Amino acid sequence: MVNFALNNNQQSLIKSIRLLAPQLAQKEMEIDQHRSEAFDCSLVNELAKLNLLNPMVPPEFGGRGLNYFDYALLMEEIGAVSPGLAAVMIFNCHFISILDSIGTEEQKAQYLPVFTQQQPKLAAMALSEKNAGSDAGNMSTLAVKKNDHYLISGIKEYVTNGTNADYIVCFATLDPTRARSQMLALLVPGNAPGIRQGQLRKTMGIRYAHCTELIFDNVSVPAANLLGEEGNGYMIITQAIDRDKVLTGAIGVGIARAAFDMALAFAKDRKQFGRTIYENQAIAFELSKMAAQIEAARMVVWKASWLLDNNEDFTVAASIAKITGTTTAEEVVSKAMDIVGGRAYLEGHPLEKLYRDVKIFSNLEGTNHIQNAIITSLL
Amino acid sequence: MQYCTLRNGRASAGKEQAVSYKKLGKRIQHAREEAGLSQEQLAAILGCSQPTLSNYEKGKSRIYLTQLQKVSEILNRPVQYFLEAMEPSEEERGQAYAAEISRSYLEEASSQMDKDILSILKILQELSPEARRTVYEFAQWEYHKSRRYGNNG
Repeated sequence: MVNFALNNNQQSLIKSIRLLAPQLAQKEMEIDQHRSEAFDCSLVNELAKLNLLNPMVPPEFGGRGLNYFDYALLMEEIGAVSPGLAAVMIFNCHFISILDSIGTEEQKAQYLPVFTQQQPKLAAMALSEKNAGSDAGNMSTLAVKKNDHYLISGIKEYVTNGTNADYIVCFATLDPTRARSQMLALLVPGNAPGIRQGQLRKTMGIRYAHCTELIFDNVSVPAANLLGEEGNGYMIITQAIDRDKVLTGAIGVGIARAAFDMALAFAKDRKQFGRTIYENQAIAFELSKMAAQIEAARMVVWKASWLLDNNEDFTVAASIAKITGTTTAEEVVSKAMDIVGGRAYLEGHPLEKLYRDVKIFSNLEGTNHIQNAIITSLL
Repeated sequence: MQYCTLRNGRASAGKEQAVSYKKLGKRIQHAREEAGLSQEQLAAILGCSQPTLSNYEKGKSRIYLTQLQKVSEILNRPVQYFLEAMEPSEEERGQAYAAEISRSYLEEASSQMDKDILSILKILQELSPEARRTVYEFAQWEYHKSRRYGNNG
């Protein structure tokens, strides 16, 4: 039933990213250092050329049709070289997975093919608000139905890809006093009149992914752009995050692997007191523990994605994968810095960047505290 | 980027989600019983196992939207009937309202209060009862120290 040997397609997928890896890593490092306010399309362009920017788009709409297992393999590779790009992809993934799971045939036919073209299209999810983060049911962005349109008004916080999204899934409520049962999800073009970009957030890490405030000022959206039905929004968002957080765990595995590889190579090369530091048991055992942690995290990510692909109950497994992948990443990056020593603390060192990048992944897709609460409630 | 923060005791949001799914499950059970169907019968029509349906009803597994749509068709209830179960109860709303009042009070007081004191109160509001106690004990210690030795003590 379970096979740990990757097939030829999966190996080719991994190889295609490893060929690009040096280029992606270098470019993301440059972007990280320069903190440009303009979004640099070069990284997403590279993936779009391989039709891997939005790899879940089904083949009938021109996509690769990757399942969650293969997508997790891909995200481990991207996470290892370019965590900012991985974060950009996660928010595209939300859009695609929502559209693919509950969109009408007309909506799918209209929007999914544009996400497979070589001119990359980006998507964003406008959910969080000042008083609605983990508690999406506390939302106040209002949708008012007027004839065959909805008018949306509200301020959304922390919108990744918000500066340059071609399409946005915006969550709003018809009645803020009953937001959970009156929430709806609307597909909004990024250039719709009335959408204004607020403050661009300066972040500690994953600087490739632009995160901004978006203001919806009486934005008119055709009723045909409603995803699912009125009132479905709360389930749509909690369930999209439930599915896609497996990929955040996979990114964590990739980050941990990159840090481990750097520490191992350094330990085998660096000589002190007449021998490599790897020959010191204290260092070697630390590396062995890191290797074990990474393998364990990879296995829970694989299990959760397998459950997803096989329509099994995945909620607990997905939370475990997310927690394990991201905490492993934080711990392994920190240990790798200890092994590499002072030079890893210098600005521009890949481990220094990973140390800043890794932190956000324990918060993305529901904090790890929330994941613990979800697990305990279902035990 | 959904930075999910722990504002206003919202660390319990995962539990709230879980409670919502439990309430949803109860409503499915109620509608199933009113329709005169056993778990085995509804599960067979849905194409899932009886234990899976039982887990949906207990909130031990999350029922997904496509499956809920099937349930609503079979039990002849609008999806909205089930989703309304996910709303907070009056008691839960009351707690949220109390927190909101306390926030509003702080905002109102901000114009008349020293900014440092206001910041401390805002932080206190976010802390657990144990952590508040620690802060209180530290404040008492500082207070007695300043009484004994003066403000430079």
